[in-house]
Amino acid sequence: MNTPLALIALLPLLGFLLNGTFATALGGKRFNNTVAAVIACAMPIAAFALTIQAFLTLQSNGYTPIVAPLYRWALIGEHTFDITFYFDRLSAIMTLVVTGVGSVIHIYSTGYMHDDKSFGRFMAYLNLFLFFMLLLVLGRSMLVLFVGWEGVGLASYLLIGFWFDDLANAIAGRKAFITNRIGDAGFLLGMFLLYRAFGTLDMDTINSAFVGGQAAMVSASLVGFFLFVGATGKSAQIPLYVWLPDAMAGPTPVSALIHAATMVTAGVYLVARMSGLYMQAPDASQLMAVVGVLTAFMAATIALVQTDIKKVLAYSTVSQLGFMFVALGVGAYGVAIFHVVTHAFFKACLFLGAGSVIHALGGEQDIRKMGGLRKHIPITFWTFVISTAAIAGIPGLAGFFSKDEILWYAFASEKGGAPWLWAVGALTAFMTAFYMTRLLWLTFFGASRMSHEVEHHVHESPLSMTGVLGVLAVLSAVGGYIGIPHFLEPQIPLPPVVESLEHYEHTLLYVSIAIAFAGVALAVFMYSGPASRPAGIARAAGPVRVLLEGKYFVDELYAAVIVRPLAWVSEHVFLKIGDKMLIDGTLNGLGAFAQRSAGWLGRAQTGSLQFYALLVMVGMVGALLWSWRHV
Amino acid sequence: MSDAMLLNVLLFLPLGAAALLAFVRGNANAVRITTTAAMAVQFVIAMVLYSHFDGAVPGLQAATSVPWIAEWGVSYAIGLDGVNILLVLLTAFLGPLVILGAWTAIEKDVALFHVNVLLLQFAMMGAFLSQDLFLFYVFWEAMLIPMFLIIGIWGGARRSYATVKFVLYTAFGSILMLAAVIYLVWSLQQAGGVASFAFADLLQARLPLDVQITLLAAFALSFAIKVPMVPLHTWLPDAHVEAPTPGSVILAGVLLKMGTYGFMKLGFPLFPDATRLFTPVLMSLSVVSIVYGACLALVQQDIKKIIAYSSISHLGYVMLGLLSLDLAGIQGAVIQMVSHGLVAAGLFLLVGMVYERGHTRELSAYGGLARQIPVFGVFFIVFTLASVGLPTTSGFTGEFLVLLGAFTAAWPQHLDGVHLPLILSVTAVTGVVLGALYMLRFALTFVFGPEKAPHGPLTDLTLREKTVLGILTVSIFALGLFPDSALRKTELAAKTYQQLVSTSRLPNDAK
Amino acid sequence: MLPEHLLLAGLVLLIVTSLVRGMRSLAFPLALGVIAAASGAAFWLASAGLSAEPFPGHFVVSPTTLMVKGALLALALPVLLMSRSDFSREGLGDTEFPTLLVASLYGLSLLPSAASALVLFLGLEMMSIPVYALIVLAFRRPQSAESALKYLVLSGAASATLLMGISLVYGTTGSMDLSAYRDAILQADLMARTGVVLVLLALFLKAAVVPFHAWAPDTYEGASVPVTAYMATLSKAALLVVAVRFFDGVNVSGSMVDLLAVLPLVSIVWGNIAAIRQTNLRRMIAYSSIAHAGYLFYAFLGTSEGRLEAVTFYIIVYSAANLLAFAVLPSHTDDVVRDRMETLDGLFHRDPMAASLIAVAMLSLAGLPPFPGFTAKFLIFKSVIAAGYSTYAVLGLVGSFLGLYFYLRVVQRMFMLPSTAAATTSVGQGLGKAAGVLCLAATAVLMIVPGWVLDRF
Repeated sequence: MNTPLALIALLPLLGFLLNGTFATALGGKRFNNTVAAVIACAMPIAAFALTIQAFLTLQSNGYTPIVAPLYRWALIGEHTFDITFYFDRLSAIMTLVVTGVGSVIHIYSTGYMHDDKSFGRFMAYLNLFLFFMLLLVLGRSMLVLFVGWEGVGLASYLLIGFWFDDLANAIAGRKAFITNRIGDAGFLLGMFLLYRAFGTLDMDTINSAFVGGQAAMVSASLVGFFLFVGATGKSAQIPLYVWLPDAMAGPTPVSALIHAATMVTAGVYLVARMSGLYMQAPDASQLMAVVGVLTAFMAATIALVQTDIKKVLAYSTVSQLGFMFVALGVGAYGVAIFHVVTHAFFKACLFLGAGSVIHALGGEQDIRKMGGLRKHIPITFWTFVISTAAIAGIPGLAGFFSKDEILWYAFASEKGGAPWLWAVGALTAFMTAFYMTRLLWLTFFGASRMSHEVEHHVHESPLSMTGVLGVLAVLSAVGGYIGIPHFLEPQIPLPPVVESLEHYEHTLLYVSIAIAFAGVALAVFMYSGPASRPAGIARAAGPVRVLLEGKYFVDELYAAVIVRPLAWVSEHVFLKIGDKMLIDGTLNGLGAFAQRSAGWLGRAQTGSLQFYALLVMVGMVGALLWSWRHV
Repeated sequence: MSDAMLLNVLLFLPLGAAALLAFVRGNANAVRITTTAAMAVQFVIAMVLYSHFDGAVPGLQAATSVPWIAEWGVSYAIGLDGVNILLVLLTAFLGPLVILGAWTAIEKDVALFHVNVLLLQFAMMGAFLSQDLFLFYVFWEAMLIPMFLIIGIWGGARRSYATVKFVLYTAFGSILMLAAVIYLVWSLQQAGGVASFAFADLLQARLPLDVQITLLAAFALSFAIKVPMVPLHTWLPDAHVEAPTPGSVILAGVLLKMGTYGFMKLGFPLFPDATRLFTPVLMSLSVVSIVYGACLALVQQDIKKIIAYSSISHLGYVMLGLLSLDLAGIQGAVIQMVSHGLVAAGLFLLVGMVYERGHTRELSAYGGLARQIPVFGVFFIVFTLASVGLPTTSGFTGEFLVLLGAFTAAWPQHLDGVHLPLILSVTAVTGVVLGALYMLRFALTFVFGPEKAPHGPLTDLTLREKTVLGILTVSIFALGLFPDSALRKTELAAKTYQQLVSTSRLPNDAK
Repeated sequence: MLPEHLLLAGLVLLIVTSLVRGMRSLAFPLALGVIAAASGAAFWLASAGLSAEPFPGHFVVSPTTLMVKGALLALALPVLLMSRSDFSREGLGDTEFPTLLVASLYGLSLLPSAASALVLFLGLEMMSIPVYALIVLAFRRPQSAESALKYLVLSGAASATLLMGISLVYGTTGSMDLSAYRDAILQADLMARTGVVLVLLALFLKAAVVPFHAWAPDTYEGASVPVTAYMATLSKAALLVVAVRFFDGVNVSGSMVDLLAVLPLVSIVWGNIAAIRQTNLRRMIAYSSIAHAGYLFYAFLGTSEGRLEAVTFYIIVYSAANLLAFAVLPSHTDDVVRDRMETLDGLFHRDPMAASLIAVAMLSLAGLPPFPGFTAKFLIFKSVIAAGYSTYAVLGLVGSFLGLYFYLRVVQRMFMLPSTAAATTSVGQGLGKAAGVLCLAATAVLMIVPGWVLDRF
């Protein structure tokens, strides 16, 4: 029974090894693009199939987790580090999303990247990413999770910098890796604390220990805090979100798969996976909720003024991730996962739609240079409309359900719910509706602002892409009807709601519907009319606009406070003063001194016999006098 | 042939090969082939011994001990134990790869060069295998001369300065260690009546604290210079930069393990009480090495210096693990030694290969190598990631266990209010960020970005080079994915070390 | 007294050969044979375990003394062998050198067995006087005479001092026997103490310990290679044997310790540092020999048992290394050029064997493992620490560390610098190489089985 689980993860690895060896320069490109494409897509699809099979077995045995040990990584004293796969309701959902969305995005990529000179390398990287992502969601031990955790970071690094001839892309990749590493340091510390306390890293054991309350020896909040630090890195929360917008340097399918649908939700998964711990960690949870809502708000404000189609989506992703952490913070772990799923659908659809647009415009990403595309690329347009509506929270679509539940628990959960959380969340939702509609409008409606040759070449994408868009659009539409929170409830209970607030539920529901439509309406009002309208507002906004367009100047801040000082200290203090001046200076000084004294001693050798004789006399007299002291 | 016999063959094989070179010295390739063959045989023997080595058996295995200078109690005693088994394997493993990997790096006085390499191999093996302090010291010092010649004859422009610095640095350490050795043995003779240099006897020693402190200081100085630990490290960058590729590879791959090995085998176990007393100091120095080395690697313009400073940082982890006195930490330290041996060797080989093509070590002279010479790029990224300690590579196994050990050992002390160890281990954890920082900075402009080459297009790796790097890559992942078999061999030794260092051996304590 | 008799007989024959014209060419092989025979005889008697008192109270023979004797005489063989490149033609000492050498050796061979101050003094003089002649013999450059004079004067002063000391000791103890010296050291009265110290200082002067060292560099530089080699090795060795005889059974204490620790320490540091800047080989060797004199006298700090062993082992190792270096030193028509350091540049590329052998010699002198120089130093410092003078030991070791640099410098020159001088060959170079191989063999034995060698003493 254990092979399929391992196989789910190992198939993509196989794909990576095959393509990585034979479809790249390493093996002299023995595979042509078609072979590479087939291999690369077959693996995730097969993995998806296996996942479904595993899910059915899980169902058939009444959802008792499937545990599939693979081998022992290390044994230290009596503590073992096992490589074991673990399949329960939570990992089932995640695995299905990863393999499912992963598969379609692979298919999409075969169309999108078809003309790229490093097609094989790209597909290989995608497979590699999938392998690590599956390790991440299937691992029983935190160690395995961490391996996947860093592994997806690597894949992301390689894919962001995929077009590395442009140094900027490589720099973006490095930024992602380093920022994640900072989070990982926190993750490690959390892991160490848990190991110290329980002598194991198996997450189910740890959770049950916390739930059972035999975890007196370690503060849940401290561990929770450290793990959350890790999560802020991977899931782009304040203060470590800065890498995600830059990550858009990667090819668009990468943005869809890694930086929207799957990898960035790893932090959410981690917290949900460790829910047992976080239930005992009110402080850490509080912190999560606050950071989450702030991130959501901040990112949304930045998204308002972005002009790069992918940047808008990137900040919206950061913002949506913020929502998820709000849910986690108020103990609604199932809801967070719910939003992970729906977000995976509509955000993937949006990114791929954007990709299709970029593809159609031959690489143009600036929405100011678009407009009126709905006639040219109808399929892309309609899928984009649906997914936009979904994220904007239009009732009946996927995003509506998950977001509404998040806002509800943010308001009413007994575990840290608070009106102000709801208020900020709602405001953010309003902005989301606004900036998404803005994006939609500037891209597809109104008059074309394209240069002529671009407009001339505009064409709908191939089936491999549009088909995928269709699938995802459907999912974005209906995804909300999968009652994930209730499916997870037996494993991860939803937080109780404050009775006194229960009767507000419907009121809030209507409010958020109103908000969604208001946002959409405002955007339409602003951008359907003459261009002077938004311009006027922008002028009125003045310094605020500067602040937003400058993304609150966080990158500049980090550069000034951390990056440059570090380099300066290393260069001027450590290298110049420490190594060169103090250490080597001293040593060379001693050497020179030896040389000089050698010179002096040499000069004592005058060659005059008289002097030597004198020396002898002095020596003898001195020696005698000395020896007479005690006589 | 018995294992003991085999071990002697393993030790003396390079010496024999060196003698053999006298007959083929005229033909460069014959020299290289002979050397590689000898090294390969040595590796095979090492593999056999490794497979025979039983980690569950305490004490020495495949041991030989015959009186050498009987009246001083000096004997020719060698043997395998959990501490040296992996390092012996590493040394034998790297041997042939060094020659193969740098086949064309040396064109001048080829025979003399390979004689030196073989002598160095002999000395290093001897140092790892010795079970007698006098013998150990002889081998320890004997390593100096071949390295001195390798750097001095085939080195770069400032080789004269580098060699003198290298030799005087290390010799100064060992001269004081010599005094300590003599004093140690003599004082034991006073106590026990019989003179003996055998480790086994010395490890019974019960010395008053002040003596322990003095002797530890002398030993530690010598070992710390070899490690090297900040602030005794400045010989390393110069030596690396000036050394020819094979020299750098051996230096980073094996020679740098001598210091940490010395600490683990002798320094700490011989003087447990002094060690425990000075753990805060030594631990601080290790962490300083981690951070300081990383920071300096961050600002180097010479690609060899980057790796040189990264070595300082990585060996800091080893020291941290050894000092944590936590089983995980110690085991991690041992793995980290081997891992660094493999990774640094690989990186220096890669740098050497580029140097052979571009004839400069200026980082700024290269760019976009992944586009120009893709195969090289792939290997470079693999070794870079291993150096960064990415999971599934050996670097992760070492760093993870070391940090785990250091932290879990420090935590309870922290609860008692002793904060330093915790602060140190947390700082060490942040070292993983710095590690990524400097290696990726290196990779960024080196393999990525717009294409740039000093003069003319570069040619991609040859089959020979691919093979060598491929073998190293496999070993790196093997140690990263399946470290357990190695850990089985060393665990008992690690426990013994832990127990030796953590139990007091002051004279007044009851026996 | 078989070895001595052999030498004496040989000496007579040599004089004859030098008188009879036709037989001049026989001198060299004859001397070679005689020395070989004498040393062989000494070893043989030693292994036979002979011990006797031919002249009671003056001359005693024991296996140990015979071993020492044999070893010293054996060391004279390389000296003779290497001499041909300098002293091979008529008028250039083709017979004089062997004759004077054997004469000097005769004196030398008395020393290990000497039981009375008188014999010691005689032996010392009989050894030294031929050396004055050797220095000026067939001199190639003006310094020769000057250096001979310096040597003559200062070692004359040394002899006088020695004589003075002996007589003072005799005055207090009324005995010429060496045991008298032992007693004198223990006595606290002025005269005895003065006598003792004077003897010690005389030895320092002859062994060139700072501040009595000044003559050595000039003399070494002035003399020709074989003679320098002889002075640097055998006569120094003999000196130390004398010292051992004097201090036989004495555990030094009090102000003697200061003299025996401080002055040698100063020599170590002084010699090693002054050598750094030397641009010509023999001067450098001179300073190195000053430093080594320091190490050797360190051995007297310890208890007397094992002192002979330590000192003998050290002087054998040290002499073997020095002779090795001198023996294979590339010859050159101009002795001044030959002596220059630059002449060694890139030697490896002209004459790999010579370079390698000199390198071995230098590293052994530097005391780097695995070369026997290390074992010898180890033995000395072991005794110093065992005597409880750890501080002096550490200081001495640090001093020896200073020496590392200039020895390695020589290796650097030979292996790492481009060759400047042209390769030259000359008569007797083959013999020189043979001498080198002989010393190398000795060095190898001392390196591989030091235990076996030590058991002989």
